[in-house]
Amino acid sequence: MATIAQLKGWDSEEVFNVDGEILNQFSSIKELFGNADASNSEPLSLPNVSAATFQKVIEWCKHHKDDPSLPPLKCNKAISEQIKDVSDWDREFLHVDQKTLCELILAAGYLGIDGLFRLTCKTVADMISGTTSDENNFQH
Amino acid sequence: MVVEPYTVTYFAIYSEMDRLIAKISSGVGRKRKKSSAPILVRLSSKRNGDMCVLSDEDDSSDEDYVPNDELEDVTQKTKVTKKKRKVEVKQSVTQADLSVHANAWSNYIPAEVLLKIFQLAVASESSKLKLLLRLSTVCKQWRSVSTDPSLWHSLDLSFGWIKSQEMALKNLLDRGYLSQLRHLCLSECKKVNSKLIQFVVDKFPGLKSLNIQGCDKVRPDSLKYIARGFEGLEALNISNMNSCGELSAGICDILTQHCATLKKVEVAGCLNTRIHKAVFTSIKSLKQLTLLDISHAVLPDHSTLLQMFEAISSSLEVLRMSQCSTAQAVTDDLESETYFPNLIEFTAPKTKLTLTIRYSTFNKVLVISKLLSD
Repeated sequence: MATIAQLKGWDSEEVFNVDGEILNQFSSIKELFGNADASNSEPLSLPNVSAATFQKVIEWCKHHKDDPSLPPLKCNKAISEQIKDVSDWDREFLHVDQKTLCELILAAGYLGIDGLFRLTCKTVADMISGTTSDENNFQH
Repeated sequence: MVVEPYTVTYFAIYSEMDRLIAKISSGVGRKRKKSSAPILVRLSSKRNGDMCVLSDEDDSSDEDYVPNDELEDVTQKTKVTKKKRKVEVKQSVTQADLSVHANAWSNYIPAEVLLKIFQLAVASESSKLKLLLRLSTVCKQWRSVSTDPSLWHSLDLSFGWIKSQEMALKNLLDRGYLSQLRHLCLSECKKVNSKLIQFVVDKFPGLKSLNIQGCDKVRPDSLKYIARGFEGLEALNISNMNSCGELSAGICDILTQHCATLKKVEVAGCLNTRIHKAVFTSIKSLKQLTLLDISHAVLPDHSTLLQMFEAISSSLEVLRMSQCSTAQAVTDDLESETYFPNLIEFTAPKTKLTLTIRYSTFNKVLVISKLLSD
C-alpha cells in the first residue's frame, strides 16, 4: 500500500514511511492525515516517541495489522478476563529492557494503539505482582 | 523539533530504571533482609511465580506486610512500639533507595497509565491487599495512585491476618479507599461478630458478595441485617456458621429479599437439622443461581427437593451436596429426572446415603432416579 504519512522520532532525522494499514492503528493521529497525499510534505515529528521505539511500534503494528479491533474495557468485569493470553510472538517482542518497555507504553498511549498499550501495561503489571498466574478468583 | 527539558536527564535516570522493578517486586524482601532466613527463601521462590510456598511462614511474619501501624491493633502496645522502631529503620532505607527510582517512574509514566497497570496487577493477583500495601510503600506517586477506589473493589481479610478487622475497615473507609468496595471476604475471622456485620451492612450497602464463612461469633440475627441492608447481593457464603437451627429464618429472609440477584449461595453446614425445609422452598425463587453449596444438609422430602432442582436447574453450574443425608424414608416408586444443561461441577453425596444419583458428564445431565429408603 502506498505511503500516506511520513513520521519521525524526536531524536533523529530518520523518516519512517507509514502506510494506511498501519496508520489506521494510530487512532489518535490518523485523523491528521485524512486522505491527503503526504508523500511530498514535511515529515511530522512525534515529540514523545524516539526513533528506536517507533521502529518497534511499527514492527508490532505490522504483525498485528489483521487483528480485530478490541472491545472497550468494561469496569464491571474482571479486567484480566478481557485480556487474552499473551502470544509467543508478543512475549518475544516484549523481551526488552525496562527502558524500552517504558518508552513503548508511552508511545502506545500517545499514538492510541490500544492493543499494544494493553499488552505493555499487562506486562508491567505481571512484573509488579511477581506472578504470571491468573489467580484472580475472589470467590472460587 | 522540540526537546522537552526533561530529556536532558532522560538517560541518566533510565540507567537506574532497570533495577526498579526488581526492587518493587521484592519490596517486602528488602524490608525483611534482617529477619529470619525462611522468609527470604519464600520470597525468592515467590519471584519465580510459585505462590504455594506461603505456607512456610507463620502469622507474625505476615503482619510485617502492613506498611505502618495503621491497621494494627493498638491495644497491643508493646508489640506496636517495637514494630514502629523497626518500621522507621526500614523506611529510611526504603526512601533513600527508592527516591531515584520513584522519580524515574513518576516522570515518565503518568498517573493514569500507572493506574491502568495497577488495575491489571491487582486483577491478576490473589492477595490484592498485600500487593496494594506493598505498592503504596514505594513512593508518593505510587501511594496516591494505589489509593484509587477502583483498585479496591475487593477486600480479603480472611483468616484474620490483620488482628482487628473492624479497625482495618474503618481506617480504610475513613481514607475513602473503599467507596467502590464490591467484594468482602472475612472468612475464618474468629473475631468477626454481629457488631462488625452491622457496621459492614451500614457502610457498604452496594456490596455484591460477602463471605463470612466460619465466623462463628456472628449471631443468626445478623442475617436479618444482611437481608435488609444490601441492595443487590450476588454472592453469599455463610458456610459453617456455628449457630444451627436458628439460622433458617434468616437465610430465608436473605434468599427472598435478593432472589432477583443472587448467583452464588453457599450454606454448607448450616442446614444440618430437619427443620430447614423452608430454606429449600425459598431456594426455588433464585432464578439466576449458578452455584449452590448445601453440603452437610439434611435433605427435605423427595417432592420438595425435586421441585427445588426443577426450578434452578437451567442456570446451575456448580452443585455441591457432599455429606448430605435424607431425613425421612421415601417410598420406592417416586422416580423422576432433572436436567442440568450447564452443570460443570457436581459433588455427590456419599453412596452409603439413601440418595441415588447418576451423573453423565457427556450430556451434562443429572439424573436423580430414586430416593431409596434404608
